[in-house]
Amino acid sequence: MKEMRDPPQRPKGHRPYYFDDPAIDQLHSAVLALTGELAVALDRIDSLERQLAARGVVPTDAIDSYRPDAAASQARMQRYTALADRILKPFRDYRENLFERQQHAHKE
Amino acid sequence: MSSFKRHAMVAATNHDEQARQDFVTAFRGHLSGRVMPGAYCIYQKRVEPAFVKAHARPPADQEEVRQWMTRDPYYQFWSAMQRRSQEILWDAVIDPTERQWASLLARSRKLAGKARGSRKRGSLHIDPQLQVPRYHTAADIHLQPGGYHTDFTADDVAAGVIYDQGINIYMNGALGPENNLTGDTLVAYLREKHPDFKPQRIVDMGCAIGNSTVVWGRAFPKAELHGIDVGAPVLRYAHARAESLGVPIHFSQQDAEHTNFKTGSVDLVVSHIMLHETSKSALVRIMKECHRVLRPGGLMLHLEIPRGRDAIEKFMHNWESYNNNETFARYMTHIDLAAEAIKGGFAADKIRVDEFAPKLDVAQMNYTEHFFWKILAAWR
Repeated sequence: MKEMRDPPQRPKGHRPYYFDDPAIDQLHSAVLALTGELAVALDRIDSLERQLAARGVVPTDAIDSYRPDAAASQARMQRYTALADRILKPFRDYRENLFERQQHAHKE
Repeated sequence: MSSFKRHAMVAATNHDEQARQDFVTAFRGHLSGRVMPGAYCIYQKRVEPAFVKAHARPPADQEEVRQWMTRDPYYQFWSAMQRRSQEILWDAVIDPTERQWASLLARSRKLAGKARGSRKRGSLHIDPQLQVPRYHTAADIHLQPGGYHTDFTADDVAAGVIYDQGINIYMNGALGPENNLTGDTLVAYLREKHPDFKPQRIVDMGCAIGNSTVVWGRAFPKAELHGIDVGAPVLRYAHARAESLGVPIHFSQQDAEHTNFKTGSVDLVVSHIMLHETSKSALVRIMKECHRVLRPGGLMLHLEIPRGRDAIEKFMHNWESYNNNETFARYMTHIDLAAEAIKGGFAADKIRVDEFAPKLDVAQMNYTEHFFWKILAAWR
């Protein structure tokens, strides 16, 4: 065995599901993974703020007291909308698909 | 955040890798300390009363508790989180290990090389012919991908690197900076019960990464110390780790059911939370093997995890068995360890089963707030 082979991504053995619909388990799993990544991102912001403060570039209270001006607010609002759009895409797809099928059935 | 000791064989973490490990540590602490106790609460307030209403009696055993609890949404939520946190735990440890795989391999080779040719150091013997028992190959214990035994490259150590850091996070640091809690517990037991017993030759069965073996080496520095396991990558890691910590141990890849130690050649045989990861038939064979290798007057000590006092506690303890690939553990609930030792050849009046409660934080107890170790002790 000279080559390094990729370790498996999943453990061997039966994977139990706890809710009647496995989709609910998958959703819980995704939410927990997302929370973990959020914790990582928050830690990175925290590290950044502390480094900037330690180097005297941006004092800590400068971030807490910062208020975006009109242009920045506008840009943020657009980002929120785009983000919500991306996150809620599966729900939108489901609804649109349902609607299309209903229309299709109606035509027939 | 973590008190885990950064010895030479630990995979270093970058900023985000450390954040992931810290998150899963904190999240599991939250699950243990804040969410898990709710499972007992809903059992008392909701599940048991519903059962009593339907059957005019409380649940007779853990199986009846299981049938009702697994349908409860709170239990389902906690289980889904507990399971997922275990998967995320391994991911968080595997990432830095894979990133530094080549350098970890190089470090282990260097440490093993230093040991060779030195009488004051330990040794390593790998047996490529060894048949890894089915109770390891059927499912990956604790969900660690590849388990204790899979080599993903020549002279692999990854399983050990991952296991060492992983179990420390698993118990929210309760295992101590060198994952020394189980070894400390058994050494303390021996010192309290038999202060005059000075073993010359010690065998640690199912030693994995040698975390407890190192504790025995420090407690009895003059003894000849052996650590055996069926997993090759954990043993290579154990050897490198012990060398980096300066504790001479002879590690060899052997099955505790049938070892190559001479009959009557060992003073003390120990194991730490190993028995519940074997099988019904293996358990008797391990007892017989302990009996065989021990000299007359020699001692066997096995440390085991609690299995619960009543039906709900038994059910909760067996969460690991059904959901964390500790497949055999559920049968341990009904197994009388003293009776197993008798089957192995030990005399009934030379056997003791004791309970020992370590001081743990509530955030470190995964399935019950009443935690105690079980210790099987038998004289040859």
